[in-house]
Amino acid sequence: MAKILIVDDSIVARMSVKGCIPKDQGHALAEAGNGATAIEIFRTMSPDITFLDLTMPDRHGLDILEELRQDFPEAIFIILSADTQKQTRERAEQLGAFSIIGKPPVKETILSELSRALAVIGGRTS
Amino acid sequence: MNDPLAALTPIEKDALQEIMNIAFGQTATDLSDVINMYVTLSVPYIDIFKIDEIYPYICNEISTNNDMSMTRQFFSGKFSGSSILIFPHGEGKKLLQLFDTHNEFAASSGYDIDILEKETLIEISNIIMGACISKIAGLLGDVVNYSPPCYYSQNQIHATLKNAFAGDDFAIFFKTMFHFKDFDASGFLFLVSNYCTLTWLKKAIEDYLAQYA
Repeated sequence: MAKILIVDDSIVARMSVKGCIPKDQGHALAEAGNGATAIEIFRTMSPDITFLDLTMPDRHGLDILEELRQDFPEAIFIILSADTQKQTRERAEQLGAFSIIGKPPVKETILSELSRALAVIGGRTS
Repeated sequence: MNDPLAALTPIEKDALQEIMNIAFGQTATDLSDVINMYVTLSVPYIDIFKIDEIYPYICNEISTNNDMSMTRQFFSGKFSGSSILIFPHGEGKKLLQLFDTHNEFAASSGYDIDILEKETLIEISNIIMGACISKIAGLLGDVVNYSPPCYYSQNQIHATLKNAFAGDDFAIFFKTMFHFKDFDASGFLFLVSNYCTLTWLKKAIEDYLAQYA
């Protein structure tokens, strides 16, 4: 069981990620529709895994990652974006993003990245 | 539909915005792979406008630029309409470097720089508009055809837009801004889709959303 935060300015995009997360594994889910709310919820919830959109009206996802990374070095960020340009991927990697998933998200990809992330979290606690 | 301005529900508008966001993100990635150019795009804006509101809206958006160039291209399919790219004057010269990797054009006096700028903007427009629209159409399950882009200089822009967007009909309006970081060049992209595509569009959005139900 993990604490999972989904950050995307699109309700539809949040729904699509949420719909891919197995309901029978007891994960605690939270959502944020903009950068400011994402940071607020993140600091309160301290999620294990964050699905993070990049192009949002108030803040770019990588700026959010940069800010949070300093205080939460172990948090896992899975980037969700149609913008997978080299420069974007490089900056995401520098900031310690766990992976980048291209949009529109494919259920199998979300599930496999989630499993990988859960395995990393499991490895830390065992 | 009683109120055309409310013809898209908030969820449909959100879905369309997300589809456009994905299309632009994928276009940026393709451009960066093909021509090694980092492109950023703003969050797209979508709404239903009365056609005669489009010209004043665009004028307001570009009001800080006194000298601009514009390209316009038509697309047709189930998703149909026109796309408009507006660049502040001089951006074409910056972007010319994309096609002039050996400094051949810049170093030679045999080329008319204004014509080269115009050709650069037409080529860039063709790439951006074609990629964006085909990706939006593709995500919505459609295939579109295009007319070649037409170029308009500053003194033709206002009359062209005014004539193009006159009348009492409605249209689906999309806007984004793009920035070519390496060249410090920016522009506006507007898409105007015919209101008659709305019934198809609503069904296509429903099908898109059904994937995640």
